[in-house]
Amino acid sequence: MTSIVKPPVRHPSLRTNTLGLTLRDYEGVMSTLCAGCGHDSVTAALVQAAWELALEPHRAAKMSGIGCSSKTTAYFMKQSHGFNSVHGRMPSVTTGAAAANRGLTYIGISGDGDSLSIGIGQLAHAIRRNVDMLYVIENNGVYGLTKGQFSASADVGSTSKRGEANEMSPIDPVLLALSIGATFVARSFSGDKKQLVPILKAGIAHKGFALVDVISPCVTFNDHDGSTKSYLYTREHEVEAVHAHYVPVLSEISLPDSDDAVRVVAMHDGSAVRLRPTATDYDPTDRTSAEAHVRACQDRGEIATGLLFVDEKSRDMHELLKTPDRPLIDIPFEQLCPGSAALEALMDGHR
Amino acid sequence: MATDLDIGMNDWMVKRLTWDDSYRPDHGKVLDAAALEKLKRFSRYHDVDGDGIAARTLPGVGGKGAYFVRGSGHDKHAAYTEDSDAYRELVDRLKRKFDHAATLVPRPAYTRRPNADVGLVTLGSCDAAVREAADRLADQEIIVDVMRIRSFPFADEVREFIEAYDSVFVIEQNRDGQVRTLLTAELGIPRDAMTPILDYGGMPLTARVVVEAVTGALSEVTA
Ligand SMILES: Cc1ncc(C[n+]2csc(CCOP(=O)(O)OP(=O)(O)O)c2C)c(N)n1
Ligand code: SF4
Ligand SMILES: [Mg+2]
Repeated sequence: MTSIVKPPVRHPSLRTNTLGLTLRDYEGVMSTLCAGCGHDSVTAALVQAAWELALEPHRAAKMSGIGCSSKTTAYFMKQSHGFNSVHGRMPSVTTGAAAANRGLTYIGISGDGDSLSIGIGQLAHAIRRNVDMLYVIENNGVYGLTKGQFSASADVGSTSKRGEANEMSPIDPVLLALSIGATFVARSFSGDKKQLVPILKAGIAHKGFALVDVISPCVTFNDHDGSTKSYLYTREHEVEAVHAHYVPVLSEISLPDSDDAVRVVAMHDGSAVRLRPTATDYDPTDRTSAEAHVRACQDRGEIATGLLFVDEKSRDMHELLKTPDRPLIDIPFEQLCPGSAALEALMDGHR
Repeated sequence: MATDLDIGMNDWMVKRLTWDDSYRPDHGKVLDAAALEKLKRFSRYHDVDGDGIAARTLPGVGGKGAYFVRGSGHDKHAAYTEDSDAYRELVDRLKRKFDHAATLVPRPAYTRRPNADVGLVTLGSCDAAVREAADRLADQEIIVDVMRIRSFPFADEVREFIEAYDSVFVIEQNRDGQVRTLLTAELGIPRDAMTPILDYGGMPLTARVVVEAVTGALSEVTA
């Protein structure tokens, strides 16, 4: 019997990026989250974004705290180092890692519990320091891992599965970040991969702290009628304020844009983001107007999404600290250690 | 390392500090790309030589050296597991690592006198007051040796010191005798073999407190 010569078939998932890697090369181990959990869709968007950006897996570090959301780091890029830190402590662990090795791409994944309760101080100071990292909050309004208690992002009046309403005012990570000087602030929805992927790519390209709040419903504890973090509620109340399109190389968009409303923000690495506000008076490079818009949406019961604010001229932690361009980890000990002469001088100074 | 608020916050007289320019830090078992190349598989928590310390890699070294540090159950390859034997193997390795660490941490510091029959155990900023108390006690012909614990896990010498005296006092600045509890838990020394001297009024320890506690306790025994 002769075998039939079959035409070579390339499954779409086997397309390669500029590094010759397929989408599958950016996957991690099998998720153990509940079927339908929003967090798994965020994982898929992260895989897509990293593949499209052709990130070298071994040059990225995945950082997280504790929670269902924080498990995400195991589910993408298995060829990258990953660190599941203590609850709420991912920002400082990442700050330390970034201080020692500025050569890596830092991808932090957290939850609304991890970031807005126990870790809120850490988050605030990583924002102030402008640590160069992507910081994703998979926001479901509850502590999913510990069985669905309200988190600090739960809206007033939003009900638990058993019907009890939350009465404490929520902390909106987007407003928090805007008010303390974050240099890249976005919100998206796990059910909107088209919006999320370009935001994640722009966040990774951003030089500084990129906060991406992703409404990511918890199907087990917070997806019922009465919840303001359910799939249905988010779909019905999401209002995209700014549509972002990520352009890998700046030259591709040097042609004048026919659309006056589009703003092109040049990113540090030569890429660019085209931002198209959906309302004419919205300026995503103006912090005050961004903050006012998010607040106004909130008052109307809407959820403002999109790349809401970006300041690409800001200085990141290394610039603020005036550290050398070369990662500290690559600098020989002889150069790093000031030695006995410096110690002598220091002690003489105390005489 | 044992330190405390008095050491951390107040000015202290110290001998002039020196620095050895030939010092190079030893980062231990860190595998670079070339070392990884020779391995069939990198297993982050696999103890190959029995000292409890498994080789690590630094981020950026290459895909083969990547691993995931996780809070949930994992095996020696750093992979998620719900297999009890695989997890127990790791927890037992940590015990070996901890025991091994006790042989490497800083040794206790001693102030000894010939023919001492009382041992004083202390740590941190209590040291100067306890050594002064030893001098005062010698004036009263109570000869004591002093051991200042400098690290945890406890080195074998800590047990040897405590077992060498008929009377042992543990001097520390907290209400509950936390160091004494640790000595019992870690070294199996009976609690009653160590008399606590506890000072927790919020001020630095003074020699007088120690002298009075020691003379008081010893006179009770002889009475
Ligand atoms: C120090 C500490 N405190 C409390 C906990 C218990 N705990 C585990 S996960 C969690 C909250 C997780 O909520 P979130 O970050 O929103 O993640 P989700 O599971 O909702 O994705 C809490 C309170 C812990 N693990 N460690
Ligand atoms: S409990 Fe909620 S957040 Fe956790 S995995 Fe299940 S659906 Fe996701
Ligand atoms: Mg949550």
